[in-house]
Amino acid sequence: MTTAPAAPVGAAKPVKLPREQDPRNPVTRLTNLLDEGTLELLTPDDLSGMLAVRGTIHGARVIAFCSDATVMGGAMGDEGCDVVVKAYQAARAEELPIIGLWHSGGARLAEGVLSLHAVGKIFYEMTQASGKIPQISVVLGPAAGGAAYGPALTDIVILGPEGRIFVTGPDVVRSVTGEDVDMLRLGGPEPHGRRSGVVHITTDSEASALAEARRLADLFGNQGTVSRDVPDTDLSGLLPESAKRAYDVHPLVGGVLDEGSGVELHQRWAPNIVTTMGRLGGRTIGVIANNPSASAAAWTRSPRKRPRASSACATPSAYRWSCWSTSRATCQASARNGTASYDVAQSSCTRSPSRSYRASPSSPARRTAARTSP
Amino acid sequence: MNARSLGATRVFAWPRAEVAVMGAVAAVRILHRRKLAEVAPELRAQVEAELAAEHEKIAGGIQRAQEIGVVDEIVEPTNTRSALAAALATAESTNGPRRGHHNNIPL
Repeated sequence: MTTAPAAPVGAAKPVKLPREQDPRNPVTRLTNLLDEGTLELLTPDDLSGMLAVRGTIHGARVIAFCSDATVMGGAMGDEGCDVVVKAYQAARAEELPIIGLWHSGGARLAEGVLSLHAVGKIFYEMTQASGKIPQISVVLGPAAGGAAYGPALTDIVILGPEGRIFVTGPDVVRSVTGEDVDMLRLGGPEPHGRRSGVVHITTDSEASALAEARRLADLFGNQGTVSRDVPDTDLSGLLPESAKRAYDVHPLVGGVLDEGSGVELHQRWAPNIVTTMGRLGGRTIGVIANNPSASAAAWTRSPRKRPRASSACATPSAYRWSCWSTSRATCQASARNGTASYDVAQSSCTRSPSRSYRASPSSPARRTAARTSP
Repeated sequence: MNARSLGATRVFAWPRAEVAVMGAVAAVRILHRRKLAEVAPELRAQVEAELAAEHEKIAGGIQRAQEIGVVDEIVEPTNTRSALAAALATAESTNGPRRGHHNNIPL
């Protein structure tokens, strides 16, 4: 991962870069995440294994923390976990989005029960913050044990090319189950981007992982107000002539959103439902759409995908969201009528102080629409 | 499943319970990888066992868990039902019956 100078003859390991120059240094990673010159330390830059800061992203205030992979592979002990807890408390108190950059072997083994207990405190903060502030995780390196559970508890998980999320590493898997598996197959983009749904966005460089986190933090942090002055375009051409033909809903989602504003979540997991965050008339919205071109939009894993997107969208009164959904039936009806006013069916998703809608089944009308899709 | 850090009202452990990040042998294989690699293969199991015993002492187990307040009480399997009932009764009389509220993660 590091471009360390060539190892001296006879040495088994490449020379370790000084911490200041190491690209895994949390200050470096957090500086790359935040707007230039806005990083402000929330906790001291020490050897605790974690660092918390405040700063801005596209001008919106955020709290961020980062594993320190230069110390014991980023493993978290009592002090390191305390840093994350402090970050969460600050974010909760100020109602700010929180972004975690992960590269950590999990709980510090040598600290035993103490570090387990400390990691548990992070989980507690995450569950308490859920639905109240937006939580974004960016996994930049191996994240094992507690460092795997942590991100999975948050609203959005972005995976860098070196990111691996697993409960225990290949060695332990081998000794327990006898199965020979590497980190990539255990916790890389394929298992988590396509099969488990743990990861929302996979990326091909650390810089693009941070860029995606910045785009989402902007959508969460700068939600804007809807301008009624949006230019209309004729979107009917995006549907096939025959109502029986399958079509890809992506161009339709892109066509409705402000140009270039969409960020699709779970692109490869449950592709029969498309969940995208973006803007309409400048206002942040979440889109949930059936995709007839994938499994004829029959719901398989998607019953979990839709509420997950809704719940991410439903983060708190301070971060009010509106969601709307396009079902095949409603889109086509409006498109055939020659109007561009797509059925904004999902008004029930507009955030109100209660999150109870998450537990309630989807409305009968929408379920019927999905079931009757050919 | 639940723990003191996650808000458990009362945490019991049976005398033979193990509380650790992972088993001691697996842990020393990671913590002392380099040292173990230098040991002759025929001695490795013995060194591993020694290191594991030492690690168990440092990392704790349930005694340490009890010291730092992560485990409240060690109960015998034979007394478990009555201990649980007492804990539930105490919790209910302290907080009253609580229903219908939970904070959950995005599922």
